[in-house]
Amino acid sequence: MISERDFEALSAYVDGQLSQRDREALESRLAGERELRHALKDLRQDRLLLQKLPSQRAPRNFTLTRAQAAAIRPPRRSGFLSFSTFNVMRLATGLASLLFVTLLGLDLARSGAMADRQYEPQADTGSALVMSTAPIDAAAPQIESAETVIPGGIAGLAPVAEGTPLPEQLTQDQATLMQSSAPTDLEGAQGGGIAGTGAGPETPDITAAKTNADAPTETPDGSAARMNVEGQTPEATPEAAYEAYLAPADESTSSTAITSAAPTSVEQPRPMFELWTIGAGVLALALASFTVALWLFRRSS
Amino acid sequence: MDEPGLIRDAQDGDADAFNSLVLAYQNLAYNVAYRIMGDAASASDATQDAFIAAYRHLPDYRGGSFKAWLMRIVTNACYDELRRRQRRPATSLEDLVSEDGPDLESELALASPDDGPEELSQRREVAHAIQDCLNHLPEDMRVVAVLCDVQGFDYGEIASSTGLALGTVKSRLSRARARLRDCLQGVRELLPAIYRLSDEASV
Repeated sequence: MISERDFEALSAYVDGQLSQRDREALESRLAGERELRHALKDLRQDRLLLQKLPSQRAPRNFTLTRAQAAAIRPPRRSGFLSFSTFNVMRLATGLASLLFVTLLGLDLARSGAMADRQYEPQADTGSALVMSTAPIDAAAPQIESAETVIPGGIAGLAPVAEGTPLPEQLTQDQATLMQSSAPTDLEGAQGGGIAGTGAGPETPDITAAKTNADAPTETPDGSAARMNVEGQTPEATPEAAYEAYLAPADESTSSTAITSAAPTSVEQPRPMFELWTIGAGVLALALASFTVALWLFRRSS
Repeated sequence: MDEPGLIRDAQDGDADAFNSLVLAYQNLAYNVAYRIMGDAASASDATQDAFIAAYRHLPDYRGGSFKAWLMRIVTNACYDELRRRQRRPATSLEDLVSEDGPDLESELALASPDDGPEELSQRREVAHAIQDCLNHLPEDMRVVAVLCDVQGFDYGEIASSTGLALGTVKSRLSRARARLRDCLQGVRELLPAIYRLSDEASV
């Protein structure tokens, strides 16, 4: 009985897989060991038997029909419904959405910043107004043109400036609106005399108001400004000022000057920015709709 | 046959190119499956499954011997078919092998015009006995024995077709042959002269 190791050597020997040295060693053993020789003979005989087994002919063709092939592995699409087109649409939708979100974020941040700018300077103006009440009075002789234009001077604003509490029905916004009108009028009336405090926003309209105050007859706005300032009679109360502000636009009233005050010119770029934001949003929505429709169509087909 | 070109086209979804490859390899695939499975119906099923799997996974083919890649799929399909068969224990291996032998038509194709009825019967008996011995080998040994001794693959091709290391192929083949030697002991007595080796040729 030959060992498993010897049989493995014989198996490799008939296949020509032994190294030169192992082959020579085995052949020398074969010459002297009859049992080994007999095992080799059986091995070769069995190998020949297996090799002589008849080759089977395939009973049929195993080719695939086009339908089978398409069911097994759908062919790569080309043209409008191709995978690359779908991916491009997905990418475009993503980019448009990103652009929209970015613009929206910038717009909101911009709005917030503008709101802050509207509040902070006005608060400063209010305090400046308090602080400047006395200097204005002190400087009154120097601002002769303003004094002549404003009967009663700035005194009409004194209740606000001195911190007289506003009526309860006036909200903070209303007070803000009133305050926003105050410095404009004040600066316009003082012809830049208070501008040195740096309190009010130096907007073109305010400058115009200053100009109007300095040269009240040069422009129609100037007359309006003057009328506005003139409207600040000593009897004017904050309620009256607020009501005047809320009153319908009327060129003959002082509210015209107030309503046409600075904020409009500051926000001029905003509509264009909003247009871009809206455009990006519409584009993102359209691309998303198209991509979803494409996806549904691909699935159905 | 421009095999690399056909493979590329088939990878791109050209069913005609793939069918050209099928026609080139279907006899080999079926023979391997037949010797592993032991019966024509199971071999046909396994071969069909193998070509379907080959078409599905063709985009994953990354070069090398296409024949070895395909034979690996065929042997895997045979393993799957054998496992399915094991889940249906009512059908035994013996039952699946036809009483008339592996395949009458193929056995007749082997026959020489000079063979008489007795020789023809003897050939069929030998073929049946050999297949029966193969069927009784463990699956992993059977696959290696079929690829090497029936189909004539070298060790490298067997390693590629089965995913085994060369050393494993060598030892597994040796054990398969040792079992076949015991099984075929009685068959040798029946062998016609054409199968017999002379004593001189054996050493």
